[in-house]
Amino acid sequence: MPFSFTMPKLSPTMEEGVIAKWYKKEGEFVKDGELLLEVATDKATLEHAALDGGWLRKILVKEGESAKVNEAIAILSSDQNESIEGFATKAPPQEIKEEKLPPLPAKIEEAPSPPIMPHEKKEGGRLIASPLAKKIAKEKGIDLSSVQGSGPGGRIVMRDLEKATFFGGTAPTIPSGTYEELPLTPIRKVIAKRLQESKSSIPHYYLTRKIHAMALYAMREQLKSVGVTITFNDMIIRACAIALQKHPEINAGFNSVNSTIISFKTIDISVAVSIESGLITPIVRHADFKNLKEISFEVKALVTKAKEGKLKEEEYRGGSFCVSNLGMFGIDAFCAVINPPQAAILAVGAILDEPILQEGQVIAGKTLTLTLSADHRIIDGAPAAQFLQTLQQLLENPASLLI
Amino acid sequence: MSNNKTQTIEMREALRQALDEEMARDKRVFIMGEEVGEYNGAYKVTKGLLDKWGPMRVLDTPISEGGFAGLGIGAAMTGLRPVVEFMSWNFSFVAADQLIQNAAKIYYMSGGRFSVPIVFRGPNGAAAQVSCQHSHCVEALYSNLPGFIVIAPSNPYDAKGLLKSAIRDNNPVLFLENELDYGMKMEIPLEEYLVPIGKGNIVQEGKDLTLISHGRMVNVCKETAKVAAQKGISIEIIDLRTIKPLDLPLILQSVKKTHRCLIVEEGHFFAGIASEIGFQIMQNGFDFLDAPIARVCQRETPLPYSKFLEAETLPNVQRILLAIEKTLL
Amino acid sequence: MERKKQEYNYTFFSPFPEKNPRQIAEKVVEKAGKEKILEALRKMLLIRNFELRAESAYQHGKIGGFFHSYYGEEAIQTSLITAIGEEHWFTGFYRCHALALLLGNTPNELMAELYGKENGNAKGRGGSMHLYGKQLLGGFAIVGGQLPIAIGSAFTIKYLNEKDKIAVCFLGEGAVAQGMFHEALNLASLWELPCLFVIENNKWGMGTHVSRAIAKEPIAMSQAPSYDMKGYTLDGMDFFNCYAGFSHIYEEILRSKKPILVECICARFRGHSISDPAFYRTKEELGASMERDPINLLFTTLQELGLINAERFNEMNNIEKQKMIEAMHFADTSPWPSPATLEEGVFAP
Repeated sequence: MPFSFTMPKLSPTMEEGVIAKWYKKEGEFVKDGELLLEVATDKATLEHAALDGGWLRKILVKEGESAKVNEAIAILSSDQNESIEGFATKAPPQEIKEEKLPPLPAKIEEAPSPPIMPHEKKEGGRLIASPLAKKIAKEKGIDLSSVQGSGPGGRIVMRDLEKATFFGGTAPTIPSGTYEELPLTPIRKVIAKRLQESKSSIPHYYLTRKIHAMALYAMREQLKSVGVTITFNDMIIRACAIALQKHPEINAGFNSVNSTIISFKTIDISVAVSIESGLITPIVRHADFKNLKEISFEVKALVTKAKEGKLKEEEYRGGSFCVSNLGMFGIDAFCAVINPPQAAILAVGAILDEPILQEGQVIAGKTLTLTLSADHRIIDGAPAAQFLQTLQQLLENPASLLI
Repeated sequence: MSNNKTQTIEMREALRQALDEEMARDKRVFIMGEEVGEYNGAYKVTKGLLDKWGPMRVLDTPISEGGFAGLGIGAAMTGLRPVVEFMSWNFSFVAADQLIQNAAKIYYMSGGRFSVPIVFRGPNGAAAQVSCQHSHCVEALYSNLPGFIVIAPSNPYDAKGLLKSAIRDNNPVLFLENELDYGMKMEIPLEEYLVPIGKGNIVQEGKDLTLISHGRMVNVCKETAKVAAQKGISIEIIDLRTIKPLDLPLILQSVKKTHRCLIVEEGHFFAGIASEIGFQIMQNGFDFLDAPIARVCQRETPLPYSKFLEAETLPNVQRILLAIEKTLL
Repeated sequence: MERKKQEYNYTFFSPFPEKNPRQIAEKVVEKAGKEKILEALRKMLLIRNFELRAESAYQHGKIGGFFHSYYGEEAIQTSLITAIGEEHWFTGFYRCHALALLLGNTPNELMAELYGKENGNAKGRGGSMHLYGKQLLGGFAIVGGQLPIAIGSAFTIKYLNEKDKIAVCFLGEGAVAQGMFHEALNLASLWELPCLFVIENNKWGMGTHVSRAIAKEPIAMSQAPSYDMKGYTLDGMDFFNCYAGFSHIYEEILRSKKPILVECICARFRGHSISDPAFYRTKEELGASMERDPINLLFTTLQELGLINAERFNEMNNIEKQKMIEAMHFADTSPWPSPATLEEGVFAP
């Protein structure tokens, strides 16, 4: 049976050796334990014996040549004449393979498994941030409680600070979402209650009409020039009073208790007034019997009283129609909320300088947008539209307000 | 003064009782060391035991630490349970090869065939002006090696209970006492009890800072805590009792509460016990810490003879207090 | 310090009136019986084949680290264990393969340990220098470190009053320079511990000749009196001289209850370890030593006494050789220890 004789590893660091001398020739017999060759290693030249003897049939690596450790360097056979054909003449060096170790366990812990304490999140207000993050935050005036931590257990680390950006060099001093709860003032309670009721129970719909206000504007200027100060709102109130005479179905209300229509017999126009504590609607009663001057005078007095908080109850309780004007704040148009039991409210916007078409020409004009909110239970679209049309005619021909 | 349930005794007597009780309980337990027999022990810990148990169980050795330490290990490997006394742990260095290469390693090296149920005990650390070669603290050196259990009691109750547990353990235990503590008195139970190995003790609770220590330094820490209390500082003191294996959960629980930590040891700074504990706390309790962990240790010189130099180099109330205040900044 | 290498002329101990080796051999065969001696020869062949095959395995990269061969010294440990049996406590040093084989461990298990496999003698944790057995407290790597362990086991024998049992400690002549040698002998003698110290003096501590390391020879007979002990010198290459000597000395320990120091003069046919090419020894010196190959000596004597022939001897050798080839295959195909078990077994439960 042939067997190969390989280059031995003669020192712990040896990787290859040179055959310094063969003590036997091909064809000679080697006894068990007999000296067979001399090998020159990195450290020394050493003799080596054949542990298992046999007939030396073929020398694969000659004197002076080198071979790697475990590479076949000779072939021996126990039988002198048996064939060694087919036995690899120069077997490829069998590398001392790096033996494959069994797979390592999935988790290798560095420390001798100490128990890991569960990290607190921000309960109890303890902020978790690395020393470096705390230092940088302090230097830059960053509020750590507003930073989201991406480290273990929600720890804030350097990279989290880089993501947080703050403008103007100042940082918020309170965390976002901070709030204060305030109790309702009496007036606010009333507003809240009434308007919530209104919006949730009245089927509001809205009609908008833009009118040309050049004539209205001009009239006001004329009156100013003779020392009479009348506001646009005064004029609109007067216009509404006249229009409501013509359209009594708008001067109405809804009794939600009895489910009946209230047909007001007098025209009492509530005027929305903004006061410090909220909103109040003093009433110009019998507005249709009052001329512009009288309306203006009364509204002024009511507004003063309202702002001083001196309105009496009968001065603001009631009314058959309401006018609300946000034109002095630059509002183009808006939709007001109906004051029950009334059926409608007119929202007045600002007078705007706008190009308008007049007889096919573009001129510099002035417009005013009116929006009527109406209770569809009582007032349908057509009558409402007609009311607005009447208002338009009155306001675009303001001399009609003087009679 | 004692009633029928307790006894007030010195540390040396507590240790003696532990030895005596374990020798009565298990015939395989024997004692060996220099002057342990006829001299009744250099520090009288083994007083009266030779008379009671005879020369086969209480053996006076020649001055041959390597020889008798190794003899103990060989006896432990072959079925006996020796308690070997080093007259001072400073002398253990002569036997270091036997301790380190044999006692600590044989169970693992033999693939579990032979265990080494042996206790080495004796006074560790500084005494009163015994100078450079008699004052070492050995815990940091030996704790570095896997295979040892290292225990350092600070009071008679723990000393007795831990020595009994150590003798019953099937592994090599290094039991570190302190000469200056042998005379410490304490009221302890008459009834038999054990103290578990590997569990520290909270000596007093506090909320501002965790103070960790072992051995004689625990008592220095207690004194310091009293002074700190007068300044309104509330200190929680942990007595390690067993250095290795370390009771890390107890430590972390405390640091989680106080957020600040100071470690006091009688050994030196470099590569000391404090550095190991500090690292483990940093690694596992990083987010609990509001300040760097501090340590107060013996200064980096061999321990000098002259009494004021000795006092200067060892941790004392002033040094510890300073460290506490700095940590609380 | 230059000290000229000197070779000492030894006188070997004989417990019999007969001093001639051949006469001693006959006496031994008569007392022990042929079968026992033939079994001893087989054991020496077992050791020889193990050491040579394991060496070859090392040279094929299967075994790593240190490897100290007992090749050439087989007679000492074989004769001692044949004479007194296995039921004692044995302590060896790093050259411990033979001791492990003689004390009941299989070649498979030992080869697996050398290969570092999980089912090796010490689970792959000890390696060549740290082999163990039921009565074998280990090979030890630190020169002299094993002596106190050995007297510890002797102490246990005395403490537990175990009859007919002794502790045997093997050491090299180099260990005599170590402090532990002296501490151990002092304690063993002082406390009258039943310990047999066997110095295997193969003349070379690595590359330093004994005459450059030890101040006075013969070692045992010089050292023993300092400790109030008896000392003996035996021919470590002559199985019969060792057998006769050890039998006698064992009885003497039991009777006197005192430890005894024995020195066996021998030769190792390899360097100190596998990495030592032993250039400090001339070829002629080695050749001369190898002429007294203990296995050949034993075989030749037995052959002359008509107790064995060449054919039977070769047969015996072949059987042991096959066992070793099997052992190598066993070790090769055995599993590696799992890294997951690395930190297990540091502490006893």
